[in-house]
Amino acid sequence: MRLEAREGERIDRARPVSFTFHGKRIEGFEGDTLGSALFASGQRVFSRSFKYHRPRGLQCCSGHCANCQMTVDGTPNVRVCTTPIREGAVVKGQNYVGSLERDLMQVTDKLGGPFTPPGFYYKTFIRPRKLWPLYEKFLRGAAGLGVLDPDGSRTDAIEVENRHVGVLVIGGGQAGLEAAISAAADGKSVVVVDEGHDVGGGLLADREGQVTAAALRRRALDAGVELLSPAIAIGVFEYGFVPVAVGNHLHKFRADHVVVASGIVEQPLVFPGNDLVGVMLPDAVRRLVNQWSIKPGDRAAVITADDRGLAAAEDLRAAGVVVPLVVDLRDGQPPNIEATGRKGHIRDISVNGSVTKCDLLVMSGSPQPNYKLLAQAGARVEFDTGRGVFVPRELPANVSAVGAVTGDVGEPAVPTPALGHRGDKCFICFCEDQTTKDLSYSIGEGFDSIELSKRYTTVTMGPCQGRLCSTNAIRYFAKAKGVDENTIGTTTARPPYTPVSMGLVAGYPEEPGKRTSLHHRHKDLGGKMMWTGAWRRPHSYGPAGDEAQHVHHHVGLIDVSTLGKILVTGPDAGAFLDRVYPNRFSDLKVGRVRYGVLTGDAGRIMDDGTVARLDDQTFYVTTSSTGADGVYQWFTWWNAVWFMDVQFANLTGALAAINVAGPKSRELMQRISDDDFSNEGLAYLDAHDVTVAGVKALALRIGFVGELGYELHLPSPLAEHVWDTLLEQGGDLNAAPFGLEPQRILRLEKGHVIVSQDTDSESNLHEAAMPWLVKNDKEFEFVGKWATQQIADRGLRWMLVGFESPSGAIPVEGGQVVVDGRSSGRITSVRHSQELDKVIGLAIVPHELAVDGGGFDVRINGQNVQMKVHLGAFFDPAGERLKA
Amino acid sequence: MSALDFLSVTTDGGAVARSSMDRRQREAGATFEERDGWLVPTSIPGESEAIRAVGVVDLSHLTVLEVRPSSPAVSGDDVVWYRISDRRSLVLCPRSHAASVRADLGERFVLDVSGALGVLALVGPERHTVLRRLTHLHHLPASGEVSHIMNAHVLEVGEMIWIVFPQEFGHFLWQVAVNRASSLEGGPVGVDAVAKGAK
Repeated sequence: MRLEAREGERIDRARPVSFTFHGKRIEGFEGDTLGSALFASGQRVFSRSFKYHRPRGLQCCSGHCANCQMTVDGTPNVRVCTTPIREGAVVKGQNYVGSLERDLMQVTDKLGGPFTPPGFYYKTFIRPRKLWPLYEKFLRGAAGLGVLDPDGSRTDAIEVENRHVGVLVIGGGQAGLEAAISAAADGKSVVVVDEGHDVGGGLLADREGQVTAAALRRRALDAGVELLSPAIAIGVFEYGFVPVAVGNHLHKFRADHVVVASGIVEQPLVFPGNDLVGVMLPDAVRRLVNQWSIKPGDRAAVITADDRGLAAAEDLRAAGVVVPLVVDLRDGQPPNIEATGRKGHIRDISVNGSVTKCDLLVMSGSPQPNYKLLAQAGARVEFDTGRGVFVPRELPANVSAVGAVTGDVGEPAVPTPALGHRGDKCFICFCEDQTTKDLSYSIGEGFDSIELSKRYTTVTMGPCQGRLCSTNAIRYFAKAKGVDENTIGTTTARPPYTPVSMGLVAGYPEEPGKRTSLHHRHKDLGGKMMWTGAWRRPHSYGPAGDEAQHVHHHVGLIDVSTLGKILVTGPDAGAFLDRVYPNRFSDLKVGRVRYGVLTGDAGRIMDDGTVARLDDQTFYVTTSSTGADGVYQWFTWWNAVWFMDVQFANLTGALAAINVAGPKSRELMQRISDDDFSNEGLAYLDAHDVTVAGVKALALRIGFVGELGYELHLPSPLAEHVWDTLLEQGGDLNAAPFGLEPQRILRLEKGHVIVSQDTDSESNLHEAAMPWLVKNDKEFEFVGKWATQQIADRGLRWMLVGFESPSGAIPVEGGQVVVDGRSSGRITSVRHSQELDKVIGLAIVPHELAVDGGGFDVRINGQNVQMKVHLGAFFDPAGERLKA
Repeated sequence: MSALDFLSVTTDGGAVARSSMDRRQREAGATFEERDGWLVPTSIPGESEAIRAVGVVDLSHLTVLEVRPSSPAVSGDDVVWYRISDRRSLVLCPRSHAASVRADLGERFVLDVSGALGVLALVGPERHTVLRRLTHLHHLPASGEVSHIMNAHVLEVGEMIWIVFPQEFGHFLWQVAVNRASSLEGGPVGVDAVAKGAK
């Protein structure tokens, strides 16, 4: 099948390359593609169609159509016509049962027609309903493209690179290269991207063009232009953002100016038999002959709307192919054209009843400007009735177009939308097996706009993304409806214009996580790590209940470095906090700590934490672990309104925080510090500078977990030292770390609220049982005051209450509180407390049920189970242990 | 004594400060030395080959001060002044220079944020390639997103690119930067392998 060696061929016959196709060794040459080597070896059927399993052969040889999709080295849907040959590649066909040549599923083409009209899965296969899972399984197996290995994992390394460039040229054909050279001469940085294996575009289809392409390529390189190929421009977005796929490398270009030189896409003609193996587009034939020196057939017919078909005929003759028939549609359009074949391969072509035998048919409709990227960028597209194609108009700023994509396609004939005399089963969408009959059917069912029909029939939605079918489909629609093509309009151009792997779009398989400076210590100690927002935190180090008990009876350490920490400092610091918090801080004494809850304008709870006064003008605010950034932003936002003399600094990452809790915590603190940690030296709710293990720290005497405790805030880089010292010095005190889960048990025993766990977007201070935080007598109105007052005035509807489960049944968090058979509240937190030997929790219930000792029902496994209301702390309600 | 003394990474000699990237360097076989109270990765196996392409260096032991407002800037040997905005600048310097820099800053609002920010440097001929694979920021110095980490700062210091970022992402960013460097034949490098910059 190879022709004699000829000047300008791309293959290097001195460098043979081999690969396997279904286990058979295929020989090719350096410069071949997998597709050209297969074709040269005699392979004609390259794929089976999506729905009818019709045999399909090479059609475009340009990477546009889906006819040559195969599985290469385990990767499905690879277009082998543009994939360079590589030694040892393992190539297989896809979407068949049996073999590519004899696909048993082709029965759907012979018998399935009446059962498989557009939308058949909504009609034919819905009864009996119980069989749908079986139908679905069968249909999923029967249709589709290649198969992904469900157990496969990403093996290729992906690289993603941000690039900034003066001019990005999409399309390395003649116009694109000339534009690039011109821009480079103006001193701009220029990159050209082209989907082909080399730049040159349409020039590469003929031998003279190859010489021109090589010269342009050399000039471009000499001018400093960077050439990337094969490179897929995935889309053109705002501000010159163009992601470009180059193998496993995604270049995220941001260009000052984008030049689209994407040329044209050759269009098929619509007639019966237009999908037979051996029916090809002109460039495919010319590339086979001129690039890879392959004789594509023995006897060829040509039907063309422009010079492209004539050029192909000339090349075929030069390659020794007999060309008995050339139909130039510019000389008049025959009303009847029909190709017939045998076993899916073309055998003859009938033009107005005159039959010509052939094994190759070259068809060429009006070449369609490849405008999709321009349309994505925002260009308007309109139909040029004189040439029968859509052309781009009104390009967005900083985007221009050059070459054939602008509509400069000569003066082709405008083929009749369907040339066949039977005219009812001519393929329009090859990817999705949609015919003129299918489109007529959808119009008849009322799907009479191209956007609706697209969704119903899937026309234009296959791997070619409408390149070979969009224009023909729209023109067929226009004819069927008796309107012009501009009235029908085009479908929306969406990225990716050319399919790219999901792995490439996903980018690097990395998830940014925040880690405290004690992270590795937790892992060393066997901590089971979990995500809490963006943070990694230890859930527990062993049984969570045991860890909670350990804190009650010994001393535990928990890493609370994730708490937000915000410095508020300046002459107006106290007044500022009075405005953003419902309670008062300006009267807080230096060295003291007070709890605070932030409310939004609508009086809803935003976040909570503590506020410590470090000196007259300096406050140290802690927030919830996920609230730091939001609270910091909230503070700065409000001060942009109030212009108060106050500075903020988010110190969350700067400082680690370790909570030392339990009855032996004071003894442990005294071992690592010369400061006084007694009630006299550091009383409950005191905040003092201390030195622990040689490190300066801020000690807060607070207790979220309900036991005597100290929260140490110290520089993150020194945290491991302090943590290690605490564990070493506390060895005989049974000092041990505890995780987030035991902390949640301990705080629940105290009835302490976790904002966003026990509150939601509607929670307010009154109904969250914290009315004591509302100070209406402050000089300035605080944020949310009006709304908070309105809630109090209208009367309370809900209340956050504690509860016990007398039966020991454990409801789920989020479970329904049921009143008179209706959902009326929910469980927000629930745990079993070993210390109390009870199931305890918090729930939002109707206000009238918030009576100590009262009850309410919770739905558990379909049954109502009664819970008993408990107001106040479950454990140490007087706080004696906390203040010990 | 200031109410904010507990912010400064200072010790009485018993404690050594560790960078948030410390564990990754340890896993790479780094040799550490205590310098000015910090455990500093002085060398890492394979660094001489890596630095020919691109080296990833941890300079988190530098003192980082946040200064408000920005003007006037201060300067000096090994002192890097990075103006974020009119209201805010960062000063990075060896710990030994910190006291004199603070004195030069006068009565302005100054916070020691050495514990808050990690400093990762890229050095070698492929440093800009690695940067392009980490961020879209390119007109340096610049602030913005680096590897999904918001609020990072990127500046060129001599023949190095410094990325200053919230230290809690250190473990992540080190892994990412080394990964990017590795695909270019680069890798982690100790501070002593870097000719200029932090001592």
